[in-house]
Amino acid sequence: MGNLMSLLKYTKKYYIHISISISAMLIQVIVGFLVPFLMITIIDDAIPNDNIQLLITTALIMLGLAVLGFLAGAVNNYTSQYVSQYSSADLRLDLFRKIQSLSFINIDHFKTSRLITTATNDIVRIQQFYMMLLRIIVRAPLMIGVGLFLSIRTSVQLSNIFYISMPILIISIIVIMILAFPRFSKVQKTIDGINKVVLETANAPRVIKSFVSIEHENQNFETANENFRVTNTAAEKIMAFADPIIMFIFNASIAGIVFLGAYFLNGGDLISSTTGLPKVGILIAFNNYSMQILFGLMMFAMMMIFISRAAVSAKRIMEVFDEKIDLVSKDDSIKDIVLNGDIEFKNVSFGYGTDGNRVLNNISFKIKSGETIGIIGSTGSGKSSLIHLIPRLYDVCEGELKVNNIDVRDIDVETLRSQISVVTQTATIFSGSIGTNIIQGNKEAIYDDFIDAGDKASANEFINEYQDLYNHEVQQNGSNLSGGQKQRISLARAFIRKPKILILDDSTSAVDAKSEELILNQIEKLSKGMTTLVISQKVSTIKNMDKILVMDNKGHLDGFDTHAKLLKTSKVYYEIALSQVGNGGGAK
Amino acid sequence: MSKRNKQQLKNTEVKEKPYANVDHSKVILTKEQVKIRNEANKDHSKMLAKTTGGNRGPGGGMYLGGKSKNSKQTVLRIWNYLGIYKIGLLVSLIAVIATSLLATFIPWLFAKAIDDYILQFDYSGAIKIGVFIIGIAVLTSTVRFVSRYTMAVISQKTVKKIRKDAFDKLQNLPVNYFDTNQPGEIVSRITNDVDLISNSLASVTLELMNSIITLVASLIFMFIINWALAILVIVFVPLMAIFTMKIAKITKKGFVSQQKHLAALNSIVEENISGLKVVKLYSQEEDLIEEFSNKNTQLRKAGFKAQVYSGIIMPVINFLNDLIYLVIVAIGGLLLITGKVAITVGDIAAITSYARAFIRPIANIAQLFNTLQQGIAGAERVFKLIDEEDEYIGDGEVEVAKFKGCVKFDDVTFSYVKGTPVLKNISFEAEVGKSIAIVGPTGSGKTTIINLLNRFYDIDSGTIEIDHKNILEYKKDDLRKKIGVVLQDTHLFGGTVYDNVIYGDLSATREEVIEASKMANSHDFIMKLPKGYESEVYEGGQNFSQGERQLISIARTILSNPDILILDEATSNVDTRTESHIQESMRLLMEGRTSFVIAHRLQTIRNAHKIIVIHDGELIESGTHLELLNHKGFYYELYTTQFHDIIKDMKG
Repeated sequence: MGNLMSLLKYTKKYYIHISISISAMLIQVIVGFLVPFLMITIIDDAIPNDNIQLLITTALIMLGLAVLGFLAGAVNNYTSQYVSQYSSADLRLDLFRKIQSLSFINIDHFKTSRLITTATNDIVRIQQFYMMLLRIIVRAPLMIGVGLFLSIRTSVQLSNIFYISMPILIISIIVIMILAFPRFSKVQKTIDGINKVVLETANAPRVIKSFVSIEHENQNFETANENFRVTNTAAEKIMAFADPIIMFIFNASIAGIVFLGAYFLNGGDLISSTTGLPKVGILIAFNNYSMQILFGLMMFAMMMIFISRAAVSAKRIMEVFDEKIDLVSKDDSIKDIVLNGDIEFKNVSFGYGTDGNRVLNNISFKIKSGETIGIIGSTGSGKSSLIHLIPRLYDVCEGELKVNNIDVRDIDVETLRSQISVVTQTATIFSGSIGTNIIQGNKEAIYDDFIDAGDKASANEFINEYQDLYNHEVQQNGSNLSGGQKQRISLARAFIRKPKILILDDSTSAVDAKSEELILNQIEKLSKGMTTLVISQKVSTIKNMDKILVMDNKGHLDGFDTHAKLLKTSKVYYEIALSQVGNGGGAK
Repeated sequence: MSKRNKQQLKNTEVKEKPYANVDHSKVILTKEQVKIRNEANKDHSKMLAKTTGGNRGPGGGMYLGGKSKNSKQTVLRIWNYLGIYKIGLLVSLIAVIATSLLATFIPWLFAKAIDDYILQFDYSGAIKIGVFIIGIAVLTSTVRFVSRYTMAVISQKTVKKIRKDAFDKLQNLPVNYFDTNQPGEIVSRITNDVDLISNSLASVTLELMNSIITLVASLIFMFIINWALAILVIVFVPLMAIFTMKIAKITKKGFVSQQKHLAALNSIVEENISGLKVVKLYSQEEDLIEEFSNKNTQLRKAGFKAQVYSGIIMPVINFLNDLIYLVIVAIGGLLLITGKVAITVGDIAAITSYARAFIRPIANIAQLFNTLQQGIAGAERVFKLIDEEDEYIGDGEVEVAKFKGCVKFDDVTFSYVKGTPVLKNISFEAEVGKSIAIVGPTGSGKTTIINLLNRFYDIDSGTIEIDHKNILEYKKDDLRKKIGVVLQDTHLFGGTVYDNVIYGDLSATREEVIEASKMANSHDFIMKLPKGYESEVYEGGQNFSQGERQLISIARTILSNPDILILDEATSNVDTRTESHIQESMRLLMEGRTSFVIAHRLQTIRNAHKIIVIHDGELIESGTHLELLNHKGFYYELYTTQFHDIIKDMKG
């Protein structure tokens, strides 16, 4: 709830709209009650006294009020929508900014899918909350308050009805909620059961078909489906009770008014002092009030459900806002530096969590400008973690990482990253065109640069087949491209930057062997002034590189030398090579 | 990327460049041409692409009640499902009618109480009628409860049946369907879309009926009570109807545009958060925030417009309510005073109530109708799934107890998309009990070959024979049972390790499961897990390493005891110990069985009885390792670049 309150600060800017909105709503509510109130005058004064003049004036006042009510409603609608749309747009932008500034430690902490839900679904829910707030949440208490006030003003005696109808309605609503909530949340859980079985079938049709286990899957589904039906029916049954009960309370309160009317026939404020007749107008108006007040209560109950949901979303949003960014440039960080390509790791240790678990242990090595380095090691040996430290996606936990003989933490993050190209393992492609993806590497690029980068990445050969070339449309996640095409585009993005340090994280795995060779040859040629690090799982890919960095599976450096020497000195390297060529290789 | 850059890119591209053999006059295509070509391109890649995790963007699942084709047929089909519960439906229907009629009685009784008893100071009469109202209220609620209760039970049963039919069909669909449909979308059909049907079944149908009956009944009562006032109320109907329809039309357009902008914004969010690593590496943050901000403003504008229009309905309804109220009171009062028409105060009270009861359904019907449309749209998508073609139609009839394992491909051509063959005229033979290594560059069609053997896809031309009989003649299930498959990226199911192994043969005993795991070299590592065989496996098996997943899947295949084997060797470097375990258990599995191995490791290739080399969908070389080396062709080249030098180095 506190989170929801803190998100209200986004509406502060629109305080004028808010105050107009609330005033308009108050007018609307008052008018809603005044119309039946004035009707009392017509029925109890004008009609019995045949006073046409009074009837017409009162009717005209009522008309004026109705129009006023409509205008107030329209104004409330406009202003409340304004506040909700503008505040939520502000909130959304702020959240997006915050997400963009998160470091990878932060992101690992949240998980990507969670951030996406927060930035989309949770925000929409808060937007609805802003709107409900101004249109309904404030309205319900106003309705109840004004309604009760006017009721008592009209007839204290008849107002006794609320002693009975209001508590009964409130208790009924509470009981229904207590019964319904756990049942509906159970329904939510059983849906997951259905999702699981369907997802299994959708994700692994080949496995299921290979083992011909359709019968088994059908049984699983039947269990989940029946489970869902039973829990859902149970929840629906509660609602089948709820609706008629509420309906009964509304109808019974009409009877209640008749009872009270009859009871007070023997005297009291129901009998007109002038004519001595019962003031039935009051009864009619009262019937109207009672409906409106009870309706206000219902609204209130529904809002409670809504608020409890919005509070969950608010909590998730605030968690993102409250996240402390742990990787920032220092104020006095170096901005004007041109990397020369030297890289030095000095006793570097690194771990993702705060639990002290290290994925890299005490690693030291030096790479000279222009060298081409291969990195090899089994899955989980820390190869990717190692290279992520260079552009400061993460910071080292212990030791020092230097470029140009300067600690990377002293260099402005953006300056550092702008001179390093990293090609990730799975190519990340954004919707747009091939060109819009490549130009991300270098905003100043001109056409020649595109062709050059495309050539180096062996990408032009397939791009040229498109008649709109670099303008060729790319769908979200590059879903209209093959894995190899995506990798080549992401390579082109790296090349167009003309980086001082190029890092390929196993990024030619989906490219065929011939193209891979071409690409690596290109890199050889570029190596002047550019340091290249290539992670690969195949010895054949990296064996000709200047030096090879071998990681063992506990995050230690096992060797850093040439292919030929490593075969003799590094047991890990030898075993990897052996596993790829086999014992029959004649190695003894 | 900022607008400026896009523009810049466009401008630069107009420049003529001699680098490509592309006719640049053709570069500028009409929108239609580009669309057609993109479409063709997209379909092709979709067919080939492995289905990756489904992400149907948030907001993507919004249904805007668009026009649905064949709504009538769809409704009829839902009706067929419901038809089983004729008695229940009848009960529910009668109950709804009764509720609506009973509920409309109450204002009339209230009027009577005022006119006939209270105004006459008839104390006991008023009490009587009050009791009567309570009686009617109890009856109304009881009957309403009956209708809601029966409908809840019936609709849940019906929805369960629809869901079951959809899932049954899903199980019988060819692999092709799963290639072209994202898992998220499939799940959404069976959960969300079916839920839409259940919503419209349970509540909307009843509410709609209730609204219509209330409307008619109120009208009749109004005429019974006082025809003059009734006519007054009716005058408002066309006014209301026209207004609601007008607003509904504008609102719908507004919502469509709001939804479109929301979807666009959500896809930016989704794309950038999932690609955040690249965003940061290439310092795209500022550009993205700018792009986001623009889209955000667009959404705000569209959303504001849509919401203001839709929000205006409530004040208007309230206004009309007030207006009718005061017109009835004023005109009614006037008529009463002038005495031109016989009228009573109670009449006025009753008619005001009816007028309310009359307006509410009109305002509701549009809304309810929209929900109903969504239900129909959901039903259409579900029925489309149910109507997909079953892969067991025209299934072969020959039952298989055991294959000897003689496999023959004869002039096989296959394409995922018509016109672009992936395999061309492939012919080869595998002898009983021998192993065949399939070698070739990525994308050459190796995996496709093995997909054809167990009829995941059917070939375009040529024949595939097992034991000298066309595989089309065998029962699909029997064929698949006898062919074991171990893929390099193995999918494990959520559950326990034990569940995953026993999946190979659900009738196996615990001893057999453990025996199979021992043979697969996986028993040891399983026993080292905290809960052994009962350790939890997450959906997809993400909490196990690739090597461990493969070991479990080998155990599963050993348990299923197939006659023919298909193995896909891991390309990535699992750690050397696991690697040698995998190699060893694969070797054990292959003993005495005809096997096909998509091979990457030299040792596996060399140990095979026969190697076939696939390149660009054609079989270009086949023979033993030595034969192929002597041939000095593609294989020789592949061997020397990938392995030979390393072997030499290791020797030296």
